[in-house]
Amino acid sequence: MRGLGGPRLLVDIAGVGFTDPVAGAVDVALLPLSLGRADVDVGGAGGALGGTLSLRGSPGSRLHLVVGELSTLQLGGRVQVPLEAGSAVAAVDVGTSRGDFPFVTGARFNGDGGVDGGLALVRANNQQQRARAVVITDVGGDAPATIEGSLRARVVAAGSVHDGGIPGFATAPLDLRGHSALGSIGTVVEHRHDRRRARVSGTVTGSDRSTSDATASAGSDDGDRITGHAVNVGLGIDDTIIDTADFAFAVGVEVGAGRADVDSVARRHLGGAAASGRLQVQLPHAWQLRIDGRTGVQVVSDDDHVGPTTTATTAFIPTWLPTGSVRATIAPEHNRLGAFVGVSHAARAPTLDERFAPAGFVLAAPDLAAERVTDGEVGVRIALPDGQMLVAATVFASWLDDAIVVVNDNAFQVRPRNTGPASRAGSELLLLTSPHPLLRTETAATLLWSQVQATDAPLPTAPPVSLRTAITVGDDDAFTRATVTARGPAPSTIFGTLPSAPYALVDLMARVPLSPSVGLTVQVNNALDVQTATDVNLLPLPGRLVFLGLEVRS
Amino acid sequence: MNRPMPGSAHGVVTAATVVMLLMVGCPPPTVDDGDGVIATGTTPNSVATVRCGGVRRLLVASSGEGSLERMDPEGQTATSTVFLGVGSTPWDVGVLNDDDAAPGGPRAVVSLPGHHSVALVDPCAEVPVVLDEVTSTTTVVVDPPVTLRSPEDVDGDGSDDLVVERMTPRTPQAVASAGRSIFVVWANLLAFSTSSTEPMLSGPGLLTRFTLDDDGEHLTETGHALLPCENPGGLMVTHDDSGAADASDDVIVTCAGRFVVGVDGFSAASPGGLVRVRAGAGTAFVVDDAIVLDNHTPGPVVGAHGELVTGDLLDGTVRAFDPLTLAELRRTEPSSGVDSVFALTVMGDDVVVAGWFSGRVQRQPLDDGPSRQLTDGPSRGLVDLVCDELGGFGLLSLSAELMPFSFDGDAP
Repeated sequence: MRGLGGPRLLVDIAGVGFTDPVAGAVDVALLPLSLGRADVDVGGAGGALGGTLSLRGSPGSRLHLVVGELSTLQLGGRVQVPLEAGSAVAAVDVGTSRGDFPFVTGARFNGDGGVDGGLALVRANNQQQRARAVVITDVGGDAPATIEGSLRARVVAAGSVHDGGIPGFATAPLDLRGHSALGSIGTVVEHRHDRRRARVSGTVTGSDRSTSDATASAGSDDGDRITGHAVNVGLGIDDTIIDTADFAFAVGVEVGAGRADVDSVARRHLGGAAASGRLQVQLPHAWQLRIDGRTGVQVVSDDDHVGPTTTATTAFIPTWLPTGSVRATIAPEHNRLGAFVGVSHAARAPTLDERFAPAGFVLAAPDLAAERVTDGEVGVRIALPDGQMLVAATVFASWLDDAIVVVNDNAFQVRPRNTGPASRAGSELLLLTSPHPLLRTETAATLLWSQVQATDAPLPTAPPVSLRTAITVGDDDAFTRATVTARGPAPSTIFGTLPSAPYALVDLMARVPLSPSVGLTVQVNNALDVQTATDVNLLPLPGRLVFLGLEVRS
Repeated sequence: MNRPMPGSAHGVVTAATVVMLLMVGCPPPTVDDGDGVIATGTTPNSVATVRCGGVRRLLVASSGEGSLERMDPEGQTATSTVFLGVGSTPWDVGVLNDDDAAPGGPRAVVSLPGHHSVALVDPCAEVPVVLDEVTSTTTVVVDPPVTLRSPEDVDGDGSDDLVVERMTPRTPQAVASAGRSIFVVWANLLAFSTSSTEPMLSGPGLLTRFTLDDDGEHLTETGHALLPCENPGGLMVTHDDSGAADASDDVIVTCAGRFVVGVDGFSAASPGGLVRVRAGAGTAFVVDDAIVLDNHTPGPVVGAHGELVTGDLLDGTVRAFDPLTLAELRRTEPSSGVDSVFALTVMGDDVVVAGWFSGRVQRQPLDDGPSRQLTDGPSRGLVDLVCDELGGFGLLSLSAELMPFSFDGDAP
């Protein structure tokens, strides 16, 4: 996410939020990726500083069973079931694996399968279990005669648990925690009658850290974008180990092409207002110009909170969080060529974790200021007919104010602090080609420059270059695929030091059809057996691993 | 996070290195600020100098890497590394025989809290090599007994115990060389602090001496003393009238005591202490004098101008003590908040230099000498200082760097 992760990334599943209510972040190990489709909106335009990740179900059903090295056993996939008035998608991913290597700083494999380096404090048998499941049901039909019109309902239920991995880091930031759990249930019911539409939605989210969050909203509009109106009201209850109960509300009015919302989301005395709108202009020669814009402000204040590592704060200290974005897109009707330019400003209030530290050795910082990012980006998109090639390129630049970074107060205590401004700039390239029906290439590359002013160093764990390219020969049933994943050196500290070395890893995969719906897969990760690769946190990556799988499709 | 945790003896670092340098004697360094930064391994904790073939080299104990790294002071990173074992957490490094003419050549001794042992390393071999790794055979009596939070085999009898009445020495901390011998203090840590209100659990501190054999390849335990205080971490060997350190010199040990660092400050669960031990030639050392320091959490200790100089791990004071009576003579103003003095060294003609975790270094702190900040921005965790006639370096634990410094142009 252009060097910004953690609580700066928002995740939803079919429109239902899937984010830890306290941490403001989601553990990537909890994401039900078997759903099949992930849409990423990088940057501040989506309202989150790092970006938004939306998971959706893909068409069709697919199940897989994978066994392999490190005692790996995985069972997962998705099933799409057509219903009389809609469809349901269920995805599940259950697995266990055992690493014979410790996830430790400095560890290296040796030729005997042992380890040449490491740190006992975090040494562990890397036994991991995970279970992730999600069900999305979307049905609709005629409403009962008493209320006329039609009803449509979408229900999303998702839950994940993850255990093991890096026990020594169990109190470290969320993405390094040794165990975690997160669940979310959300529903949206919509009633249409003529041009009028009314909807009711509700979401309940909870995590393993005694937290839960419930929101509900209702609204209606008459569907007329020019002269119509809409009203939304909502209520949220946030029950955490910090506070027994908070409340939230939301009221929105939509008139014409614009919309105004007043809402609060997570915390006591939180409120705000936002307005959004869309302007679509028909240009000569079948070109269209579309301008999407939104602006708003949130107000956040905390009072009388007492956390395990904080003292009470009783003052009402409002924090104003102005947000807004404008994106202009120009594209012909056939949509094979397009360009866009956008600017955005997003703000993030410190999470409950950062302010009140309900767990872990990282202390609280109740006086943290909000992070703010201002983004600018320009992009083009070119698609050739018949799907032979798609090129999308984006150039971006961002300024981050009051960057929140966990730093040492002293030799014994660490806590998040506003460390001042940071900046980043770079470009992204997506290239898809299919010169022959049996040959496909997919390439995604990113160049990133960044600097944290307090240390004159790049954003930690943000490599300047990253690349992923895959070449697939064959069709969807029988294919061989080679994937190269590479990145440049990335500092693992905020000081720009302890860089994780660059690497290029090659993964191979082949699928052999056994029948029209059953296939055998062979996957070789790190086929060249690179022994020195680490992730950006200096945790060692495994050497060559071989997996066999059985895949069933329909 | 491998830096000192609340109540952990690991907070006290590298007094042995300081002592070694005290004995060598260091003039003011001449390296310009900001130049010649050297990258180290993860979580470095101690640095020492050694002469290999007459050429100056730096040795860095890298806790996170489990290794001892040899550096060229003019280089940018380690030139050679010896791995000391998974989980060894190298803590302090001292040098024996830092004289090419001595039999066997220089030797490095590294305390390994994670292994409850001490490693003997040939630091000047083309690839440094571990020659020996020894543990203390002394039995430590824990009186009154300590109740652990979970059973563990701490007396080495093969069965887990919940109540500890005796234990084998563990968690060696500082080392200090004296001729062909090396003194080691053991914190005997039983459990880390788990919160801001619960201090570490530990047995009484221990001082041991190991002596290098004639071929320079093995260490043998040649004496010990049980210390009347907890959490020893600082160590220095005093000079005798001959001016040359040897195994029979007096040894000064600082004990930090057990403490916790909370949101609103810090508090002590057991007091700090300052202990003088008469080592002598026998195997049973004599505790010659000891004082309880109710309001001092001493870490490093050096000698200069006929005084003992200590640094506080919590309030950041530097204090001077009478070496004979162990009475406090003077002290600096405390820091605002917690700012540990992990590093003290003596440069040139009895010039004391102190280093704070926040990155501040000060010359002659007790006389309000010039000070400077090694780095800007968030603390990089200054945990050790080293110097010789060619220059000085500050060891930054959080950023894993050796940062050159000098006081050129400052007076005095």
